[in-house]
Amino acid sequence: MFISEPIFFLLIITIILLSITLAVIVASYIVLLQKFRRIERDRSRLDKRIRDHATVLLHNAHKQALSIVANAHEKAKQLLRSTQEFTSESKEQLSATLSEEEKAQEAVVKDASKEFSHMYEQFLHSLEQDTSAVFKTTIEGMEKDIESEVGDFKSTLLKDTIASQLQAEEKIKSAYAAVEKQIQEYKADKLKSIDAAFYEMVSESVKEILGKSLSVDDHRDVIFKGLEQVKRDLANKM
Amino acid sequence: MEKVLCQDLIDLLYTSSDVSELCGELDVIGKELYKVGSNFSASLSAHLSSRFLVAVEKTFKDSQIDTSLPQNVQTFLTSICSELKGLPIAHIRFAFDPTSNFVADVSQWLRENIDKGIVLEITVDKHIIGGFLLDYDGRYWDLSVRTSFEKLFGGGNLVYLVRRGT
Repeated sequence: MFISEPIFFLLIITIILLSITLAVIVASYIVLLQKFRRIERDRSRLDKRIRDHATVLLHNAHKQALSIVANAHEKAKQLLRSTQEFTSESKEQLSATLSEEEKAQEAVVKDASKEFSHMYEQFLHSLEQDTSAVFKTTIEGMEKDIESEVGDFKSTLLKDTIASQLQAEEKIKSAYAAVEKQIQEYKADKLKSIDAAFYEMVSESVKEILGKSLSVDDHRDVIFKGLEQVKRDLANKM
Repeated sequence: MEKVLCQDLIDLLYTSSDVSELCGELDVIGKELYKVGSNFSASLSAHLSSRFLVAVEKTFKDSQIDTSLPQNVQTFLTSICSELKGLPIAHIRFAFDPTSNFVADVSQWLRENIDKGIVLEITVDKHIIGGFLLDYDGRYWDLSVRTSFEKLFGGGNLVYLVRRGT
């Protein structure tokens, strides 16, 4: 099938535009993937930090508790050493006191552990909320960016398409005018040749109608009759 | 300016080709006038066509030119040619190549009926089928068979009529 030159160039331009479009979409997709991976990396890093931080806090609390218990034992030993002379009654009282003290210390440690657990839960909850909010904001921002880019691209593509259509229309119009001109010229040439052929035909027809070719005498008669008319015309002019 | 041509000479010249032929011969005679030992009468006989000879001699005789003076003869020859080229021309177009007798008949008819000095300029166009086209004295006549046919078919162009399917 034959494709005229303007339409062929138009097709080439359209293919180039579509290729550019595809390239832009692929590039946008790659950028999006990179952003998503970066966010995933940030999130895992944050989780790790949280876990590390929690472990450190627990370790410190445990160390503190052990230190408190060790201090209590030391104080108790000192008290025992300083009160060797106490009586068994007083020893029992002391033992009871120590036991109470130990229980009180244990209760303090338990409370501290509970409070710490509660604080840790709150911290985790708050962190989770913050992370979710940041993640949501980032995703929304990315969505907006992509929507904006796609919108711009759509607008540009629409403009280019309209411009291409106008150019194509102009080219088709000029091609149509050129073809029309060629047809008119061809028509004029044909009519000219028909004209020539027609008078040959008329001449032949005249000969056939008269049953012979016009003889010199026939021409002579026609000519001298015509000359008489010329004479009359010139006489009328005077 | 006084006319030098005699009607006998004009009567021999039917077409512009005849005028050109005579002027060419007179030009050759004029160039020989200044040659040593040239003779005017002998030169006329040698270079003029026999059909023009008598009429040209009569023209010189009527004018009473001293033919022994080359300058006088030269001036007279120039005047003859100038006057011949000033004759009224009728451009006529036929559908066939006319014979010399036919040309003579048409020329004589025109001289008897329209102008004594008229000279024909003939062309041939077979497309006019018959009759003639005449261009004379600023007027134009189309009395061809072709035009008669066109008028017969309604006064329009025949090709147009064919296209309409008439």
